[in-house]
Amino acid sequence: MNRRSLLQAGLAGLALWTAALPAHAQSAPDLLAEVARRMDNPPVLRGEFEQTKTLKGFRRPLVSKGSFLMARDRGVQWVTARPFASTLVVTRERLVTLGEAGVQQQIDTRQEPGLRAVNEMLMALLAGDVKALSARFKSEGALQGAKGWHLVLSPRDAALAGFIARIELDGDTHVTQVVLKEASGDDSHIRFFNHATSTLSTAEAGRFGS
Amino acid sequence: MTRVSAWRTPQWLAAVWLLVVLAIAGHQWHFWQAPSLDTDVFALLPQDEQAPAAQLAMRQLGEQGERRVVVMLGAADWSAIQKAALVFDQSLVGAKAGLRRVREAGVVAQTMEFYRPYRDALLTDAQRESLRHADPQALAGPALQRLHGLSTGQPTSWLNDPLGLWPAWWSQRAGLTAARPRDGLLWVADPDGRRQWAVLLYETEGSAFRLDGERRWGDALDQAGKAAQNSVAEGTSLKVLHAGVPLHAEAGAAQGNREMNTIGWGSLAAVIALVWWAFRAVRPVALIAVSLLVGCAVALSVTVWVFGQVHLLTLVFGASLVGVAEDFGIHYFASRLASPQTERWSLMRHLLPGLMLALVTSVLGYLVLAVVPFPGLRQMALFSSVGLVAAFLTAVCWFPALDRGTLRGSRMASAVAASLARWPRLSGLRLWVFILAFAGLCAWGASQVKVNDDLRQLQSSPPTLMKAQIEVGRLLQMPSPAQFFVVQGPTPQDVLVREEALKARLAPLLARMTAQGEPVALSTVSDWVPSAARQSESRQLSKQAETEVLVAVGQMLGEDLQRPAFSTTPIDLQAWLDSPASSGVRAQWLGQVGEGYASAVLIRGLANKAQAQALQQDAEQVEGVRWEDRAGDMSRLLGRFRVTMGWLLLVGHVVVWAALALRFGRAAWRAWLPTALASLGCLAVLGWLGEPFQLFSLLALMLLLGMGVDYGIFLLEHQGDDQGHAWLAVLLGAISTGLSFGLLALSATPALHAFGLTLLVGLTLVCLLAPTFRSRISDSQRVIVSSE
Repeated sequence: MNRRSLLQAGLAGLALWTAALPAHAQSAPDLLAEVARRMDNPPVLRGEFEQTKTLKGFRRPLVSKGSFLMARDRGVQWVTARPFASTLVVTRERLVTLGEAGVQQQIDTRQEPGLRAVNEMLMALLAGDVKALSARFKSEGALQGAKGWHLVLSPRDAALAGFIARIELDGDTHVTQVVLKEASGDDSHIRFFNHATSTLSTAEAGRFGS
Repeated sequence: MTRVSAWRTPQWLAAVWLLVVLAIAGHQWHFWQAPSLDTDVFALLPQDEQAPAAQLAMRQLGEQGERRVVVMLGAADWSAIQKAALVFDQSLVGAKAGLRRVREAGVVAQTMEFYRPYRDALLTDAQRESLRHADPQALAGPALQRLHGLSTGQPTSWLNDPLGLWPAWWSQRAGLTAARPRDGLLWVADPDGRRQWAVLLYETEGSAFRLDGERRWGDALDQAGKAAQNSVAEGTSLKVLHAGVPLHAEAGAAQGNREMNTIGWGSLAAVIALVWWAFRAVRPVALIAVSLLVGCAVALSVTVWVFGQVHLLTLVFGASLVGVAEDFGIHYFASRLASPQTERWSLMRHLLPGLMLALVTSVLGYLVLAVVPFPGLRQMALFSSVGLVAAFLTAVCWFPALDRGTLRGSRMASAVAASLARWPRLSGLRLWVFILAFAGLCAWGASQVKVNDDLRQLQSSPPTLMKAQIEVGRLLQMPSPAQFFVVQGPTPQDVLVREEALKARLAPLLARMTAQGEPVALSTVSDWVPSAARQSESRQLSKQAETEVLVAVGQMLGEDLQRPAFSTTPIDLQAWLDSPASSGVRAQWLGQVGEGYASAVLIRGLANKAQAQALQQDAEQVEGVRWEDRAGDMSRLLGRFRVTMGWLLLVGHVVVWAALALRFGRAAWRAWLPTALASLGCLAVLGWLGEPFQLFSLLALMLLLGMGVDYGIFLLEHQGDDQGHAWLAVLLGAISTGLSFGLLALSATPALHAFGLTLLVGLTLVCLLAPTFRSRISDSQRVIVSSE
């Protein structure tokens, strides 16, 4: 005899940094379809990155460099080489930070679908999966030349907008640049280059786990 | 001369009563525009003056869920569920049934903004513990790494939360509920692992209480459920659950409406048929129907006037009044039959003492219900008593004025009146053997009776709805609505501190239960507003650690990093209560109660008695904490009243016997014994049928004492020629009353069912036994029912 629905209790505090993201129809289907057509979608994509973060309260930008690995349907490995060595492994099920001394932090997303959504978003972002992204973001943009394209994504949902103000993507057959403007005012500017496709090494496959 | 004066006064009376009835009619018209009806079971129960805080908690928690409907769609495949949810929602919007979708996204953002200035004061227990022993240099490393790593989106800038502490606090808040946001829906995994569920929240618009017998919300939800079922691919099993107070209220209203109609119209039809059968004239039928209508209307108006609103169960119970209040009219017309020549007003004046006595005994029988301090029973007692009085007044004031012409009566009536002569009559040894055998048989039956004081006797929700409600409660790990802690203290801060002490005290026990696979968790106000002392401790810890980390990182990067300022005052409880941030938890803050303040601490996942006992034992060691089990308290209260009323019933029988002895001397037993034996018989029948014996059966026996003795009195009062005509009136009255209560026994509400059944059995037995014990009077064999 539950007369007293207390479902509300706690709803207000639900996994806030993970946000509820409604799926909507694409706003610019032609543009997105063309962007998707221009992109390669290799099973494994690797390359190098240079990330420049501009943070509130910092005079100078923070630059880090390293390599990334994107395995379709499996996840992303983000290997920072400089100035500090660390590896971030993102799969649908896990978010693992590997330091010099092994696993530093591991978050299981299976019980937190909101967090899982964040991981899926990260994977989609790096893979340039515009279809997956358009479920969560309104997109505008333009095609550039015969191969290039530029997209500006803004969150559809107010809760997500509390974290991300805007994302800008540039690319051709791959994503070449991501600008992430966080709602807090911190910005990340990531450049990708030296793209290559090759199979996973055993060590790399091992890091994704089973 | 005397004739004229005898006419004048009553005409004046009839006019006054007409004015009263017109006023009531106006009120009735007004009332049914927007009936203020109550279906809440707890509204029937007594206020517990001993525990005002628990009472307040029950009320506040109740109001919170009052408009909320929860829908859950479950299947193995999430994308199928998403599609089904879309179809479901569209169907429900299309139905325009007064259910509005509740979206919480805006609340989430507002909640985050509310807490932002207090970020430094909000730490989890684990964080506080680790910061207490932290080495700032060791903290600087991960901070630097986070600084250079891939940003995954944070609720604050790095500078604001260099150690990344806040997300963990938020995810602990998120852990307070089972459902998680996912793709614009709320998601929850079935613990059995086979299904996932989407949760859709709706809020009702308008009132449940149309009393047109229709389930607007329920039907719209069923329809939407079917549409959703059709939207999923064949072979996919989609399960749809609905729950929420409005659905129970609506089902209750629809059922109450049905039962009210069955009992009310059924009884009316029975009364009309009986009256027609006995008198073969339109006038008695019309006048008696009018008296019943007026009785019910006045009863309703007065009840609304006294209680502010009327409970649905009162109406269902009150519908049985139709079968009781017709007695006055029947007596009047039966007497007209007996002496057709007597002038009507003088006949009424002649009948008045007898009718008055019958009225008083019946009203007393009903008023005994009001002895039990249950608002619901008091309503029923008031409704029935007022209804009886109004039907009585209608008969007394109007019948002589409106009743014209002669009454011929039917041959059937004469036959029934004459049948008394052929009814078996016991005396001497045969009487004693009969009484002993009957009592023995009943004692055997009564020994099989099972006692039941469960509160759920008052609950009548359909089983499917109850099942869905329980399932939803399990999946969403909803807190128990009736078992919780009340934490009290002299100031609001004391309450929060004691809540924190309670959580600390219970932590090991809760961890043990969770480890055993039966997770139990608490929901407290201090989860959302920690005590000022705790906030200040957290603030100190994060300030110290973060300042040092910022210095260390700043040195490494050659930056001058300034820690931003946070609020210097703790979260203000009132500001929190006023903000959207408290939505959902707000009802747990009870505010000022008596001299101090109080809050309710709710328990989620409570699965069994052993858990409840363990929690209670452990928790009551903490100052200011009290375990409340409202359902248990109420069931114990019902039990206590059952025992008290049992003794009162015995006292009642003694008093009635004494009163009868004053009037009838040694013959008093003839009026009393039928009711006493019938009461025993009721117990026996309940035992044989496997029906539980409860407070409401006992209250029915009280009413039986009030009504049953009347039948004996009538047969004793009207000795000789008169007895046959009295027998006719008794029989007509008893049959219609028995029928009304028989219809009440069909009620799906266990308490009303018990009441109706007990009276049906009891009245039948009294009718069979009363003539068996009548005295032998030589000329009683001759019956005068002058039909010719």
